[in-house]
Amino acid sequence: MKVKKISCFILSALSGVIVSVQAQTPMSLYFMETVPQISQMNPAYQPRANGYLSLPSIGFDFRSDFAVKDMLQQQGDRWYTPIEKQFDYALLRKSIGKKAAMLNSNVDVDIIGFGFRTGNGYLSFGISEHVVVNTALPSDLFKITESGFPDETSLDFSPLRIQAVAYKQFRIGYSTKINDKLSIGVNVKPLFGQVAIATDIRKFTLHTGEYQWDVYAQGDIYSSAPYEVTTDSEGKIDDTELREDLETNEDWIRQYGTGFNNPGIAVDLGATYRINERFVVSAALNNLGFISWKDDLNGVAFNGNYTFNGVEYDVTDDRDDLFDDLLDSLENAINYHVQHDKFNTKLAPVFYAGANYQLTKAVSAGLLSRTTFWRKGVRQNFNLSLYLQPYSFVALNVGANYQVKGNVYLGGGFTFFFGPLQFYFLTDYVPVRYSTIRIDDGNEIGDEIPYIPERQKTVTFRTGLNLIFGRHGYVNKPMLDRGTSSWN
Amino acid sequence: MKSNISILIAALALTAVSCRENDIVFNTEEMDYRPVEFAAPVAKVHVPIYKSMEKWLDIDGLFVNNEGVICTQYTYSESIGWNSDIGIDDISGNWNIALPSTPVNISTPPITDTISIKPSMNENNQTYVESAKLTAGTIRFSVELPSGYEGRLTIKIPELTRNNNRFSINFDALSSGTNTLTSNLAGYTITTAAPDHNLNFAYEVQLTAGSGSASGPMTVTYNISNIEVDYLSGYFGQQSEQSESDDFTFDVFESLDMTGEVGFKDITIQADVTSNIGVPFHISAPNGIEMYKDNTLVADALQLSSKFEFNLPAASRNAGTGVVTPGTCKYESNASMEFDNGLYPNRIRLNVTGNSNPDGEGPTPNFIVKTNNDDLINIDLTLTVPLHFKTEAYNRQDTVDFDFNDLIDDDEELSKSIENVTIHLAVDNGLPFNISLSATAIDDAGLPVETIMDNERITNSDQTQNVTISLNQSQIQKFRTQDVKHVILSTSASTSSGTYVKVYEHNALDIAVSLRFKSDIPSNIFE
Repeated sequence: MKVKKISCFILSALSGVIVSVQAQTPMSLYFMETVPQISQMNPAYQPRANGYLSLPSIGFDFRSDFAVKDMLQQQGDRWYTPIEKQFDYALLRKSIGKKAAMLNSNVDVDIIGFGFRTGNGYLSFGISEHVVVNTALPSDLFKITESGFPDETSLDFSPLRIQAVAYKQFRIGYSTKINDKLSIGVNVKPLFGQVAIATDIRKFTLHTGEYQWDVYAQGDIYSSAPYEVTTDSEGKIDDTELREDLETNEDWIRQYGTGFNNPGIAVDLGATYRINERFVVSAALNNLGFISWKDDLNGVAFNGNYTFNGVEYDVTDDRDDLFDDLLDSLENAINYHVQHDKFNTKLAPVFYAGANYQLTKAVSAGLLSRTTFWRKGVRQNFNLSLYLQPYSFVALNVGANYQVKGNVYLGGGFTFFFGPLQFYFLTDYVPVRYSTIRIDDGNEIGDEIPYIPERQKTVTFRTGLNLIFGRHGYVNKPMLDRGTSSWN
Repeated sequence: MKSNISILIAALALTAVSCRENDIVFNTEEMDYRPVEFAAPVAKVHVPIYKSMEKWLDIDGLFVNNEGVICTQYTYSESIGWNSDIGIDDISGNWNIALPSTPVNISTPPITDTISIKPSMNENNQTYVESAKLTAGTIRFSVELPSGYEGRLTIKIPELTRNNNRFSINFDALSSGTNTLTSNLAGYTITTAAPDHNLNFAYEVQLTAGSGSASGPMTVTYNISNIEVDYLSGYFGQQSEQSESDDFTFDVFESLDMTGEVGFKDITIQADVTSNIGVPFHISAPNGIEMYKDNTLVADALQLSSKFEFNLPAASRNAGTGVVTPGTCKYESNASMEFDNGLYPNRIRLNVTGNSNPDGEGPTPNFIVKTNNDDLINIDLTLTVPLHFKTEAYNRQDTVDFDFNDLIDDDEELSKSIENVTIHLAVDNGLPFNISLSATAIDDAGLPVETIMDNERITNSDQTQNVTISLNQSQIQKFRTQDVKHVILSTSASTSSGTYVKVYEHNALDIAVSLRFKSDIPSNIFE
C-alpha cells in the first residue's frame, strides 16, 4: 500500500504541468570547506567544523541573457539605443539567442540551521525560504522596436514564460565516510510551496497584416495564491479578490509562515573520492524534486485561434469607447476557461563535478563544472579557482567563471572568523568594469547613473553568519600545521 | 608563508582592479529615431440604413412595412365642426287677440286659440326641428292689454315639455298696459309632430272689462332666444362647412438636400373618417391634397389615383340608451410624387368641405349631440411614403468632430515623427444606390484645411470596392498647425438614371477600415 502511494505520488509529480525553478548558489562556495553551507552544494562534503549553528544568511542571483551593453551599442564615439536607426539588431539577437532572452532571479534566505559530527558521519539540518522568478522574453518581442508591426509579419511569442515561486525548504543532510577514499552524502529536503504562478505556453503567435491580424494562443497559466476568482455564466473571469480569511498579519503568518501546504520533496546526492592525498574529485546531483501545488488554485487554460479584422462597430449603437470594445472583443475571442487544476513545479536539477588539487597546505586549486538542466535546455558553467587559507581564521577564494555562450567573470569569496562567529561573503560574478550613463536633453545635462556594470549579465552573491564550534577539527584533512609535512 | 602572501596579494590585486570604462552619454536631441511601421485593421463599420435614418434624420413616422421596405408615415387630423352651425334660431313674433267690446266678466267663456310656429335652423327654411333638448333658452311674453280690461292669460305650448309637464305660463293678473313674463327653458324638450313640426302656442284668455272698454286687440308678443341645445334632431338641410386647420408639416425633404429630379412611388393615402353626427355628408377636397414649399404651391406634386371625395353615412343613435354609433368611412388612394425643378414641398394643405344631406331629406331624421365635441367630423389622414424612389442626387453633409491636436495630445514631436498614413476602406455597398463620398478637414472657424477624400464613387454592386486615403508628412503637419477640429463628410446618393429603387430594412453599408502608417519612434519616449 505504501509502495503504491509512493508510486502514485511520483507519478503525479511527473504528470501535469512541469515548470522548472532553480535557485543558484555561487560556485565559489563549492571549495570553501570552512563554510558549513558547503554541504548544500555537495551533501558528501563535511564541513571542517565539529558543529555549527547557521544564522540567517541571504543569497541573491540574477541572470540575464543580455547585458546593458547589448542594449547600448557603441559605434565610433557614439552610443546608440534600440530606438535609433543605427542600432544593429543582429548583434542584439546574437546575445539573446534566436528564441528567447531569459531573465532569472532568485532570493534565498537561510533562516536557521545546524550540523554536527557523529562518528564517521555528519548530520545537518536547515530551514530556508526561497523566491524564484524566471522569465523568458521572446526574441520576436524585440522585433517590435526594430520595425513595429509592418504588413505581413509573423511574430512568435511562444517562448514567453513567467514563473514565480516562493517556497519553504527544510533540509536534513547526512554525510558518511565509506572508506578512506570515498564519502557519500544525501540531503533530503521537504518543500512547502507558498505562492506560485507559472505559465505553460505551448503556442503564441501573431501574424500582422493590414487587413487582418491572426493570433494563435494555446497554453495554461497556473497559480497558487491567496485570491478567489469568480466566474460568470460563460466561465470567464468576472472578479478576483484576496481571500477574506486573511485579514491580520497573524492570518498571513499562519497561512504562509507556519503552514505546510503544497508539499514537495527534493533530494541531493553527492560523493567525493580522494584519489591521493592532494587530489580529490567530487560530484553531486542536486535538486531532484518537485512541489505539488494543491491549495488556492486558480488558473486559465486557453486555446484560441483568433482573427482580428477590426472592431465591429455599428454606427447606430451608442458606444463611448471603441478601445473598451476592442478589449471586450479580444477577451471574448480567445477561448479560455478558468481551471483549478493541481500542478507541479519541478526544481531544475544541477549536476556538479569538481576536482580539487591541494597545492600547498594553504592553497588549493579547484575546477568545477556546473550543469543546470532547465526544462528547455541546459546551461553550462565552469569555474577555475584558487582557495587560500593562510590562517585558520581567514580564507579566500578567487576564481574565474565561464558561462558557455556567455562571458568570463571574476568570482570569489572570503570568510573571517571572529571567535566562533564566522562571516562569509561569496560572489561568482564580480563586476570589474563599469561605466557611468548619462542622458542629456539638448544643452541640458542629465543626471548621471554611476557604476553601471554594462557588460554584466549575471550577479550572484551570498553572505551570512555562522557560529562554528571546533573549527580546527575535521576528519578528512590534517590540521594546518607549520610543522613538517610532505606537502611543502 | 611568503609564497602564500604573494599569492594572496596577487589575488587581491586582481580582485582590486576595477576598470572604469568610458562614460555612456546620450543626447536625446541628436538621436535619429528608428522608423517603425504599423499595419492593422481598425474597424468594421456597419451602417444599417434604417437605424441610421432613425438616428440621424429628423423624419417622423419611420417604419418598415410588410415587404421590408423602409417607409415614412405621416398622420394628420382634420375636423369639420358643426358646433356653431346647428342650432335653433331665435323665435319671435306676436299675435293679436280680438277682444269683445261689451263688458265681459269672468263667466264669459275664455277666448282660446292656437298659434303655430315652426322653429328653424340656420335660417334655412328647409329645416325643421323634430326634437331638441334645451340646455338654455329664455321665452318671454309681453302682453299689451288695452285699458279698461283686466283678467288672466294662459299660454301653453304642448310641444315644449319638461319632466312630462307641458310648458305653461300664466298671466294671472293682467292689467291694462304692458304685462311681461319670462320663463327659463333650460331642461325643456321640444318635440314636434309631423308633418309640420310646429310649436303650437295654445292660449286661453279670461278677461273682465268695465263699460266703455277700449277697442283694440290684446297683443301678445313672444320671444324665444338664447336657445342652446344638447340633443337636436330633425332635418338639418343641406349645409356646407369647411375645415379650418392649419397646414401639416411634411418633412421628408426637410433634412435632406436633394437636387435634380426626385420621384417617389407606391405612396398610399388613407383617410379614416368618423362622425358622431346623425347626418350624412359628402366629403370632398376641391383642391385635392396640395403640397407647398413654404408659401409656394408645388403644382401637381401629388398625383392621386382616386379623387379625394367620398360619402360619409350618418351616425345612429339608440333611442333607449342614447348611445351613438359613429358613422364611418374610409378613403384610400395610391399616389406618386415627382419633382424636377428643385422645389421640394415641406407642407401639406388639405381643405375639406362637408356637405350635409347631399341627397336631401331621407327617411331617418338628422340628429346631433352637441356635448363633448360630438358634433365634429373627424378625418384622420395617413400618408405613407415608402422609400421607393429615384434621385438624381441626394446630398447630405455631416460634421464629425475630429480634434487632431487633442488626438495627438498636442504633441508636435509626435506629429513630426509620422511619415505617412494610409487608410484603406473596403466598402461593400449593400445600398440600392450609388454613393459619392468626400471628406474635408476643417478648422474651428469652418475653413477648409485639407481634402481627405474627393468624390470617391461607390456604386451599388456585389463586389467590394476599395478607397485609399493617403496623407503625407506635410499634410499631417497642416492638420496640426491649422488646428483641424472637424471633418465634413459629404455624401451624395443617386439611383441609376431613371430607375426607381426600393430601400429595405436590411440594406446596409459595410466598411472595413484598415490603417497603415510609418513613423519614427517618437522623440519624447523618454518623457
